[in-house]
Amino acid sequence: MITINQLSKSYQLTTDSSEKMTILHDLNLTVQTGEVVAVVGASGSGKSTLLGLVSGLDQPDHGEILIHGKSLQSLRGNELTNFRASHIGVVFQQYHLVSHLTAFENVSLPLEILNKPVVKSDIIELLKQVGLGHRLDHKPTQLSGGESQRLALARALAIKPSLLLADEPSGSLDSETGEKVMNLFFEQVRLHNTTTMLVTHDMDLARRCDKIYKLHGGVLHPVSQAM
Amino acid sequence: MQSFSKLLHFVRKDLLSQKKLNAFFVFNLVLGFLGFLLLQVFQASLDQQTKDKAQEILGGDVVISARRVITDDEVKSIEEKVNLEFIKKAKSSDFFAMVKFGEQSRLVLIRSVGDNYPVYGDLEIKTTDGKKDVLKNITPGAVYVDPELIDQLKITDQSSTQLRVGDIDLSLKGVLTSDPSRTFRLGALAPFILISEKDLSATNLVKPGSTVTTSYLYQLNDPMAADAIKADLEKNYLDPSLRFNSALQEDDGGNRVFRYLIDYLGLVSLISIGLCFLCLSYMLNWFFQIQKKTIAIYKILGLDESSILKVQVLKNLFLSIGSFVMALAIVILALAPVQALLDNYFKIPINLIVSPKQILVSFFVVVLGPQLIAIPTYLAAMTMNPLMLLRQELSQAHLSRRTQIIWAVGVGLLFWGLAVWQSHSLQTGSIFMVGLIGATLTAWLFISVLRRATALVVDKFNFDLKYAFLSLIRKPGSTDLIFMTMTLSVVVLTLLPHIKKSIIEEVRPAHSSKIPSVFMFDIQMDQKDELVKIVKDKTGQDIELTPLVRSRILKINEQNYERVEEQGFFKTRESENEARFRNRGVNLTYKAKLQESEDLVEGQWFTGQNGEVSEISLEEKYAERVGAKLGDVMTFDVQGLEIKGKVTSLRRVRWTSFQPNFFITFQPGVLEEAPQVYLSAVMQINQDQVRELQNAVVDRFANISIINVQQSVEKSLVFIDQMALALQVMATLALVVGFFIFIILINTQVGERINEMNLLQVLGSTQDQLYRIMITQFSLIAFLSLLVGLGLGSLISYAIVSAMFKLGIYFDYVSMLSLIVVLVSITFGVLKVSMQPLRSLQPLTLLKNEGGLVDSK
Repeated sequence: MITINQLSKSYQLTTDSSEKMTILHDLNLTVQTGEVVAVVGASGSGKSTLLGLVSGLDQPDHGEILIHGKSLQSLRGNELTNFRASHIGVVFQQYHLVSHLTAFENVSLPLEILNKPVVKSDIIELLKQVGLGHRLDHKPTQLSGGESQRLALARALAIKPSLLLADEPSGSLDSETGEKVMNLFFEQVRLHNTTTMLVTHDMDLARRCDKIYKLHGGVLHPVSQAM
Repeated sequence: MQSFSKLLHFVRKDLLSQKKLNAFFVFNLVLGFLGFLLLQVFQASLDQQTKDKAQEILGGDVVISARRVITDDEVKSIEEKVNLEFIKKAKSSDFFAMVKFGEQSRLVLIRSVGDNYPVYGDLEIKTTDGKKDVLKNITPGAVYVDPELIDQLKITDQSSTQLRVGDIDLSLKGVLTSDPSRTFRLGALAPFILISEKDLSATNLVKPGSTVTTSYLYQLNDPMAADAIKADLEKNYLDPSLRFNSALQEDDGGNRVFRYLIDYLGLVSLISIGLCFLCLSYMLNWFFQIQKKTIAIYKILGLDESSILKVQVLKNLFLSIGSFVMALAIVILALAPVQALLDNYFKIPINLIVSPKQILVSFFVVVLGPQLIAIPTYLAAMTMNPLMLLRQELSQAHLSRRTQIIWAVGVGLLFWGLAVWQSHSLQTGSIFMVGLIGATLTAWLFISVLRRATALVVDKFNFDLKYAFLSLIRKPGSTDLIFMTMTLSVVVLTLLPHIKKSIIEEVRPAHSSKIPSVFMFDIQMDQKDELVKIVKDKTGQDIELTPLVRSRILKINEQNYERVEEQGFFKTRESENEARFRNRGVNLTYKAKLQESEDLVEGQWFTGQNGEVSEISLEEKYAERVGAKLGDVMTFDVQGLEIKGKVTSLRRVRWTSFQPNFFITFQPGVLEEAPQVYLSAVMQINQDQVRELQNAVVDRFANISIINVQQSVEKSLVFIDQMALALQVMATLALVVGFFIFIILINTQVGERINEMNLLQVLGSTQDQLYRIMITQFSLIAFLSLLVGLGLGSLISYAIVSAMFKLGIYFDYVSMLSLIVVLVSITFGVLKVSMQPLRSLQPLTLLKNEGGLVDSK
């Protein structure tokens, strides 16, 4: 379960001014294990800021994020890095694959960093599940946009994350490819029962999630599925 | 077609959008060409000085000379035969002999001069009372000496000093401060003294068979007729012992060693240029990868191919011209300190000037070189199909392998031409080129094999090492470039210390060495017995005397061995040497057995059973040079008598043994009756014994010249040090270029891989781990190149030392260790600074939707 309590974050407008802009203000959220929630909102509403905080890459001004009961704010340095890498998977809009590594190596990369055993058959199975079983030795430059995003999804799932964060995963793809990729995305997160937070501005995509929240004025507002 | 101003607009945009890359481009060119430009200044200054002072350096408009005595009658008949019209004429005779002051004696080069000397220029002196003066006339009984002789003879009070020269005492009248005929005295064997010709016979130093160079120097009525007169003289006088020179034709004028040094410096500077071009090629390709999307968009928007080409060419032109101006400015700023170094350290009186001609030549090389290197990117830009943009296949925009090979061969050929031009030698330029290609290919093969081999075992390493290795293996372009440039620059820097050490170890007298302490020459037949007694008395040694018979080669296998004079715009050092070599006389000796410093390599030593024709043995390299082989019959002119010899053996000679060694040795029983002088060597004795022996010999036989081998060797070592320093400075410049490339590649790779590092941080890597991975990656390649460079450099040194110098190799471990310490420190320094961006990674930027791949190469 993911719990966010009274999360606030503001940024200094310029380096030489003391004026601050509040992005998130006493934000609260609870996501049950295996639940898929969508966060929608206009550009600049703070979606990426929220992802940055939940992923542990950024620190809030105050408030707390609990992942399976463990507060991210109680962790420091390597402890935080290790927890984040072991429990949180991230899928970026722009895939962010390592170009000189093969598809297989890209997927096994997070396991190697965590010093976890790389079971070849598991990686191959994961790549097969995302439809890249025939592309094991291909480099990202040899893959299409859709294939690249599927590879990024496989990499995020490789660590069997407690929480999967997805930042506009179909944002760089054409609608047809985007739909195919998202079908696979939902199929995989359901298959692995992965708690997921999906940031998107695509309401059609958001409706496929269990819950939808709209980020506005620094807080999350539940949105009806029927909207 | 776009207007020129529109094209300039595109160029300006390009230049401003990639400021950092363009700055790298400029710095790379500036560093690469700095040494080359400086050498062009040397070359131009030397040429200009030689041209301006040709008459003073040569001594006249026309000079007739020979390494023998030319009689006045002989010269008169030459003058009449070619109707030589002159304003004035002077005679000079140069020879080595001993000079003595008190208990000190020294070998000197004596020049005795007649009236009208010098024909051109002024001999500047400092009189014994310290006044500066110009020497107009050398009066009988006077002697003028080089400044170093004053110190060597320990003369403290110059006034009323008498120097013993041969059988007479001459009064020291002054010290020579400037002598135009000896502008460049690099590595002279002995100091110089000037005496009057009227004193020459009284000295009793020139005897039959003595080594003496006689010169007649002419100031012509019409100086411009010098070449015609020279040609006329050469046509009428087939005697190869006579040499004719004209001031109108560029002559070495004693600066041959300096020219050789500049030639070799030029080759070392070419390595910097080669490395710089390698880096340039990489950078241009890199520019293209960055710009290809923009180019494709321009193409789609209607910009035609010729305009795209013009924009690229103009941009590179701007950058190259900018680089040239910067490099030239640095060279001009460096002129004053370099001039001071030349004046004070090298003692070379050359006035450095920046000539328009040389600027133009350098400009073309600096500006056109990059255009040549850019051809592949020009072609790729022109032939790129903009549809690739739609199909997202821009990565496929590259040239065919065939085109790349044609381009590489073209660049190689032009570089070879540059090497021959720079070294003035087809042979040296070609050997250099073969060596450079060989070293580059070896380095490339090594790294390619290592990359492939590492790929097989990379999974066995821990993550940090594996990731570092994978980054090296999967980015062969940058890995190979770093490795090859660093390796080549280390090779260049490794060569000199080993070669220098091997030469020094060979010539430096040591206890175990078989090098003699004293070498004596010009010993007359009637002086033999008494000299042997003097040496026995002073040193306890029984010396052997080796005969020397002067002659010249008339024929080889009945074919005339004629004078060679090549004309033409570009003379190689080989053609100049060949002409000089053929016109020179040869010294013969005879003996029954081989010396310790000789080995028989082919044929059979004298059997005495060869019938009518005598047997001769040739030194192997000499045989190659004159084109003689076993069984050939050579005809010699020995004092007017024709003597034939059949080549029955070839010998290898260790010249650095300082033993009396000869190119041509006759069997005993042939030359014994010919006029001859003798040479001899006295083995290991201490410096006190040397001084005693010198004084005793000078007192008894003034004509015998004695070389104090240890002193000469020490002097040579200073000279070797100076030459090596100059070469080392140039080699260091190549290393600086190598490091610059290293810095560029690290910086670009770190810059390009920031997103990759951010991602690794998201995936769980700590900053320390990322820092470690990157440091490991670049240290691995840097240290590997250092080790391979040292190894390859040592191997090439071994090849040069054993094949070219025929010496045993002595590795300079101290220099290598220093080199390792310096290079490792610099490498760590560079890495530490370059990796700073890794200390402030911001993985949050990955959420800002920039870029699809976390690195691009």
